Amino acid sequence: MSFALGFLPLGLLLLGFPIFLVLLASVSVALLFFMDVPLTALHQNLFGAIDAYALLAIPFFIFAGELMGRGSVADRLVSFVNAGVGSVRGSLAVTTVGSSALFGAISGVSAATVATIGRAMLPALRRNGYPEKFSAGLLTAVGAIDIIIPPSIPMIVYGAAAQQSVPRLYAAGVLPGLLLAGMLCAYVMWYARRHRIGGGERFSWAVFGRAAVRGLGALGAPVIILGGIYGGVFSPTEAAAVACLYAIVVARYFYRELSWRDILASAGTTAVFTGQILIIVACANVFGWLLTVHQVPAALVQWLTDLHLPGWSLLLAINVLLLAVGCFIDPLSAILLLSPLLMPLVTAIGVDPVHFGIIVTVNLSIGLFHPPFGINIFVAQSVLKLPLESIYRGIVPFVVIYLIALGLITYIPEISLWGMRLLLN
Amino acid sequence: MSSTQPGGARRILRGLERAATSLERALASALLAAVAINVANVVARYVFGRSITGADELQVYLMAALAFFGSAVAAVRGQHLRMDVLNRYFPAELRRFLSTFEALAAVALCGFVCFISSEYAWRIHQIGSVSENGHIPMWIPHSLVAVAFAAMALVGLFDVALRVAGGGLRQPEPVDVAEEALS
Repeated sequence: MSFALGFLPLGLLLLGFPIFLVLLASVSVALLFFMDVPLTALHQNLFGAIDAYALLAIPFFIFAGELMGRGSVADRLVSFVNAGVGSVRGSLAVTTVGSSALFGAISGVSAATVATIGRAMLPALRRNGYPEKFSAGLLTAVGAIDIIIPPSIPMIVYGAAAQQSVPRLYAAGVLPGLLLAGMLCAYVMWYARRHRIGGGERFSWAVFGRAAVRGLGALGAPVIILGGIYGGVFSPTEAAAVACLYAIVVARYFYRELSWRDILASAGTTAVFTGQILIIVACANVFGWLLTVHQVPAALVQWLTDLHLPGWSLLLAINVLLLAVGCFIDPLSAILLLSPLLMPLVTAIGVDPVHFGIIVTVNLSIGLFHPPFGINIFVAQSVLKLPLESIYRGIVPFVVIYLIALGLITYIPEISLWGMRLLLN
Repeated sequence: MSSTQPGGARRILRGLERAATSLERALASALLAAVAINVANVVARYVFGRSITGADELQVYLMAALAFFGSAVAAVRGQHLRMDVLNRYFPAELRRFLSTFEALAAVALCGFVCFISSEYAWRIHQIGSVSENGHIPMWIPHSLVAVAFAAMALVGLFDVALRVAGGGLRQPEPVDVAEEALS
């Protein structure tokens, strides 16, 4: 059985097979040659994984983000944040961080943030004397906040895999996301002071007011999503659907930027992306079921208990594992593959599953821009035409900042849980 | 799609891409329908004080269509998520062999799931099982799995044929993946 559930999937994964085929090969071999259960279990688990209302939020949030990212929403958000930042040193870099965090509250896809905010900010950063290496690092790294600040697609997937409430995960993600944004802002302000890069125009209520009015349509989306969920008006899935309708109305009628053909194209892109993600969710469900039937998670917990490791060292080991995995596998696949194995371990040492969801998300967010293969690196390279060397050299300080934030979020659970309690009460 | 493919292969590729585009449009409509049903359900709850019967089930089955058929479109375009860190450093010959092996594995595995799922859907049809609230015949959503995996097995079969003819479906580089994700 260790061949079917261990060596075979690992081998196929390393050979570069599609992840859903890796999982399917593993479960098919296990069912056909090593188990005596009806083969219909395969279909029941495949279909059962998708037969979940909560997962509908995935295509809905992706669609809303797609619609909002196609027009001038990014420019409007950037103008709004820039007007609010005023003349502090490094104001443009601070605006980049703020706009990404705000865009993250609309979209749940990190690559979209790098592309849309990057396109809007890169020329301005260059004009204002920011070194190419710094701009490349900032724009590549800052998009990762997107999957920590709700709505976050990885958190929905984690919620499904670990059977945790998505509203609780979203609420727990707000403070860690803001903490990261704050730390990035502090760093870029220090960098600007050190390199004598100036600030923008002085803050003016008139300019800020005009930018707020201009960005009103875009700013309404996070209000609807988060206000709707935590005001008790909608479930996360309903909030996502209403956000889609809102995005259609804003893009089609308010800003008059998208035609119905564009909206249909966005829906098509979303459908294929949904297929890429949910087929792995379905296959991972069968794989997870097989692991449970063979008591693999229980055996792991027993092995760990026998080692008598202190909790902090286990969390450190899990962080290293997640960081390593996150460098090679996309966050959603990593969550689906590892959650069934890691959940029993962390609950055994008393870690709150919601807190662990945030740890997992922050870890995997680093993988999105970590060399050599983070997807945001390739987005910055292809969309922003930034040289790979500048990106690799530029992201080093940002990786360090994310790692410090990860340490704080891992070992101070209240950063996640306090925000959750505050919002849910 | 590569322009270096032989003539017959190019026709197959064009046909596959046309089918994928049509399927993508149908799935886009399904997504818009799911959004409309969800919003209508919210409105019905707040305005009329009651939800639309079976709305949740219908949306979930539309999502099942998105999941399984969207995956078939991704198979045609070589967009499935994979860890190709090592693969990219393999010699061209080995990569070519692995791609053919992958296509064969896709035919076998997707064909296997198609067989199991068709049998299951047929049994559900014979029992006459319907969904709890919307009374939707359950063989319909269950057959989505069978049909979508049949489509993926067929895509794999075309891929094998193309590879034998010296071509093959596209396997994108990371930069292409990024561009496609944002196009």
